[in-house]
Amino acid sequence: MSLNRRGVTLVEMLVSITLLALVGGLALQLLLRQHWTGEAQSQRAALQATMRAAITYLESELRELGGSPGDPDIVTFAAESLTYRAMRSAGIGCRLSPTALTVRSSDLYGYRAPQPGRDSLLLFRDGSPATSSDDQWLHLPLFTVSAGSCGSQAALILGTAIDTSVTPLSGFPPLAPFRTFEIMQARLYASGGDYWLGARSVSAAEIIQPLAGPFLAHGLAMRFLDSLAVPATGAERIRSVDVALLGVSASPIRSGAGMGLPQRRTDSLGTRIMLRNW
Amino acid sequence: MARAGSPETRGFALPLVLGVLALGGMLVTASFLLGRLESQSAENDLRASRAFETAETGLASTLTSWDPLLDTLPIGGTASLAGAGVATASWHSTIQRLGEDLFFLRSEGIVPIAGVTWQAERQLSWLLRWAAPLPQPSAVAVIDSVSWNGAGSASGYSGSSPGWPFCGPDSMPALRIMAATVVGLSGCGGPSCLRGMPPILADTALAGSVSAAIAPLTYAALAARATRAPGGIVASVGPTLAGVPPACDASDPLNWGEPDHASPGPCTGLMPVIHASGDLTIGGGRGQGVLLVDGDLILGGGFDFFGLVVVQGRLTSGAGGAHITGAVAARSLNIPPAGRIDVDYSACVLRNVLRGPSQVTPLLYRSWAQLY
Repeated sequence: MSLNRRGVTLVEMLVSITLLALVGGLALQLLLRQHWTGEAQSQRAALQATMRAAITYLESELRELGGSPGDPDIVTFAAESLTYRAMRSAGIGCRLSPTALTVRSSDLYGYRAPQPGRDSLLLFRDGSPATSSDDQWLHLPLFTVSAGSCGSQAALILGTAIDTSVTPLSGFPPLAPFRTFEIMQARLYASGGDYWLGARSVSAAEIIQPLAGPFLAHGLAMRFLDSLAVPATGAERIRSVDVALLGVSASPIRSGAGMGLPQRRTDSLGTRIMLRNW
Repeated sequence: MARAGSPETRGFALPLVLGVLALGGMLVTASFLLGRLESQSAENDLRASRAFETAETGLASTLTSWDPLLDTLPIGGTASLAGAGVATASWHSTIQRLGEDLFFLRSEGIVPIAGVTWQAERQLSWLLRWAAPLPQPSAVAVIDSVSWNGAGSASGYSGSSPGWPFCGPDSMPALRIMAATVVGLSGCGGPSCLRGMPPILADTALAGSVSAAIAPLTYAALAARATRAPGGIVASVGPTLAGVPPACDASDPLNWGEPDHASPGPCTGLMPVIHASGDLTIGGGRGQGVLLVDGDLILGGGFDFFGLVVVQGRLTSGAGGAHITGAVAARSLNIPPAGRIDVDYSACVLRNVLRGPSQVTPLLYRSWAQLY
């Protein structure tokens, strides 16, 4: 056996293993803290993003609501549920007949194209141009949508039915403004042990689909206010909606100096949405 | 002593440290990327909100600084405006005339994003209509006395005038008076010269005031918008042109616009508010707009006027006769045996000439829309 081929002694090995365990433990703790902190930040960010998304959706859907006397866009309302006419497109008709409204493609705007069976029409009727007191938005069915033309431009032909014995075509402006809408329901609902903000098209008889969440039980609270900012007594009186959200993180997270036991964190967000079309 | 590089004596400390460092680096990078993603998401929300608010600014700016030239847009015609928003944001609005009184205002808010070719955009719209309150639900309103000893007529049936927009038939009183108003109609063949529904209406709303006859407009508010201030005797008025090519000379105080809309000219769109602070005599000519006289008004020589005439004193029409399409309000009316006046009520003419003093406003219901 050669003298210059020395091994490690047991003591050296024990010392090195102890040091390695010490350094490894410290490194592992550091990495775990880093992981938990990142996870906590990620969950908080997701929680806040969830609530922002819910508020953005509700703002986008509700602020365009309004109506006219006897014809409000809000159908039913409660603290955790709302049924309403969701505006889906708007435009200017270039030709009107008792059975069709023709719209140049370039004059059609909105969230999506009109869908027969699902959407309905609101068509503006001026009546006498001398007065605004007889202005009205006629509620009409949308039977068909087909391609056509208006002048030399591509157009959509929206099939409908106007009772000209009640509303003669002479009362419509030469270029007729219109909107399409569908009846939507937005509400808080329970699924998988959590609560979610969901929406469904009542017009299309859809089942509810989650939009944002999870939220706490009663994590959506809507207050419907009249022009004096007191609770409205009817849909026609609603001028603004206070929305308060109580969100909860999707999974338990550790937080605090000692990182503690993992818990589901909560956060809140609120806003007031003014209905622009009253 | 072990030889360097001997496989039997190589340790594992370096790979272990490198592994730990790599793992730590990955976690830090993941945390950084997550933070950056959140930051970008928040920035996108901010840009979308800015674009939305900028589009709102475009709507409000276009409405509050409504250009009277937009009144002359033909139906279907469009005009564009643009303006700056906060920081680098900008808006672009388009106004389209949909009908006689209806406009579609579309505004697009744009927020450019540094370093990329795309930008945040939002489109909003308003439906607008004229909010011209209509005065005078009659051809003629008189407070004190009517002495119609000459020729002529007054009609409360609103008809169409060549070249002017027609807003549908109206059936208004020909003559609106107070219960105490003294009425003498010997010259024009008696009540037959008054055609309306009814021919004569005693209206308590007049309340002894010429100004009450033009409610909801107010005399002072109309006078405040006057751009013409004639006085004494005016031989003749009429449209005048200046420059090359000829354009309407709006600076001429005797140019009261061109009421012959069947043959549109440069002065067709000129509808001034004319305010005489004392008595006024007009020899003849033609014009359109709002004529306010603080004292007495004498018309003659075939004066032809489209619009609203309000006389705080006595209105007299001489031998040359006068024709007013629109409405007349006066404290007293005196048509001498040799005189003549014809007044034809027209809601459409009134609405058109009152557009200057009036404003466009959003429709009462469902005027605002998100066009995305």
